[in-house]
Amino acid sequence: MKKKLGFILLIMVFLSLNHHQAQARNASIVLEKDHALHAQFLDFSFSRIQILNRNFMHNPDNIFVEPRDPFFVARYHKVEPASVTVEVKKTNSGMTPYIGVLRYTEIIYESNGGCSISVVEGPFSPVHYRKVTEIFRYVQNRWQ
Amino acid sequence: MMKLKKIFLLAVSLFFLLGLGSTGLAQVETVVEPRAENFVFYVDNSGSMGHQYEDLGLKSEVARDVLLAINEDLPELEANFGVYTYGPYWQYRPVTGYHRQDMANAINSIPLYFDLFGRRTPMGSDLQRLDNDTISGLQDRVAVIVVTDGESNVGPHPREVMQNMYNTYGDRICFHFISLAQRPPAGTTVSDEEAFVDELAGLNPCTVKADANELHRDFVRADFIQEVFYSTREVVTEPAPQPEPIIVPPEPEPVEEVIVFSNITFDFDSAEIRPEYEDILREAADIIMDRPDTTVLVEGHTCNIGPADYNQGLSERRAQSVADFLEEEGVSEDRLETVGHGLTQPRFDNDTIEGRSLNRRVEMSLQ
Repeated sequence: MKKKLGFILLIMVFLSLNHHQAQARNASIVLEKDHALHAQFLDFSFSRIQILNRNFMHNPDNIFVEPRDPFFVARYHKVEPASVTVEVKKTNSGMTPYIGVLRYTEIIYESNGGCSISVVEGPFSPVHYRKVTEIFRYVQNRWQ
Repeated sequence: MMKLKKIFLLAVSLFFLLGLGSTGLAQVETVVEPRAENFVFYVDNSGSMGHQYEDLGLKSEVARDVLLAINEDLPELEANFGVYTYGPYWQYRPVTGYHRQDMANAINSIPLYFDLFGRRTPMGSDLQRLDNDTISGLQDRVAVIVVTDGESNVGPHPREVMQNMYNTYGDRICFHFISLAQRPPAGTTVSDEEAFVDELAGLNPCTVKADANELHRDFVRADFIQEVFYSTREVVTEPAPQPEPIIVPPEPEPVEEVIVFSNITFDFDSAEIRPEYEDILREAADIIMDRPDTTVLVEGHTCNIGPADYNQGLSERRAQSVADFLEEEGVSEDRLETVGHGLTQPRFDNDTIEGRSLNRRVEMSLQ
């Protein structure tokens, strides 16, 4: 009987610990959109999107063309700024008091044509969507 | 048996047809071009290099480690390399064709431990000797990579010697610096040693300067290597145009979902997650835990700097490190799969510093 009670007690302690762990994990608070850090992170995020768009291997200024028998395919990647959403959270961590979650959609656009030169003129259609989440930390007055 | 024969014949036919069809494929080739025909390492071996450098070890040890790491990361370049020291002046490798092991042996031959007393730092006079004995006899462009702690206490000032060499050789020569200058004392912004290195680096806009403690980070070292040692360009060969076909608009594919982390999460050449980045990985774990219907493919990627097999191994270890962390945070092991792609799947332009930085990443695909 004692052993049984002890075992039940152990299970209860274990469950309670897991619950507290889950609570602690979910204890970060989402900042309101009018918070100064939210606006700062939004600016940072749009700058981030600009960096991504100018550095894609294949972007509108450097369209990739390859044969896809019997046509040619032109392709580029782009993140539409309108797809950006952000969230800033206050954490319980001393090392990282705030984190920022940036979400955006990277789209691959393609155009098909019979000529490797004219295919880059389009028209282009979206062929693949990639929902990306990036997470940043706020420390020493900047996002990194 | 007949069925196997039919399958075999079909496979052979397909291979044949594919071979015919592939004659017109576009080829994209990356060409690596050295920024100079001659690279000369000029390494401080004077008494001051026997002092401690921050918490990384003796300056001589740190210098050796950085040079070995650079040598390991260099691509095979069609250029000549030499290794020399000053304080005292010595040739450890003459300026000859690049050979990775030979260079490593030369770097490892430079003494690390010596009597500090009386071992002065004649940076300027030994540089004059290097010029007279070696550089003056080299053809084409010369890059001198100076490893210095920012001290020179005997002989002509290296500023004058370098300026004379710039005047003599013009655009053919450039001095680059790996600095082991001590950080400034409290209350000052720049130490005397840092100011010394900055003054020499400021003589010519061609110069690239990096601190030795930063060169321990793989992405900093990668950028330094590409800025000092080589550039790349892509050469594309277009196939002949085909006749106008019927165009069928493509259908959009299903949406892909991914969480992306920069490799800044890791220390250089390491798969250990830096403690200050654990909180953001924890947020990723929360996102994954909220999607119990998915499996997670953790993929490691690098930029194109460094040997392919080194990058492959590093990307695999980093992917595994992230997967281990996710598991510790409660993501079930059977939901996790890891793979390293090394430098084989760049998404961004490896010709720019930003692009290479973006390519160094770990991606968690929710599937």
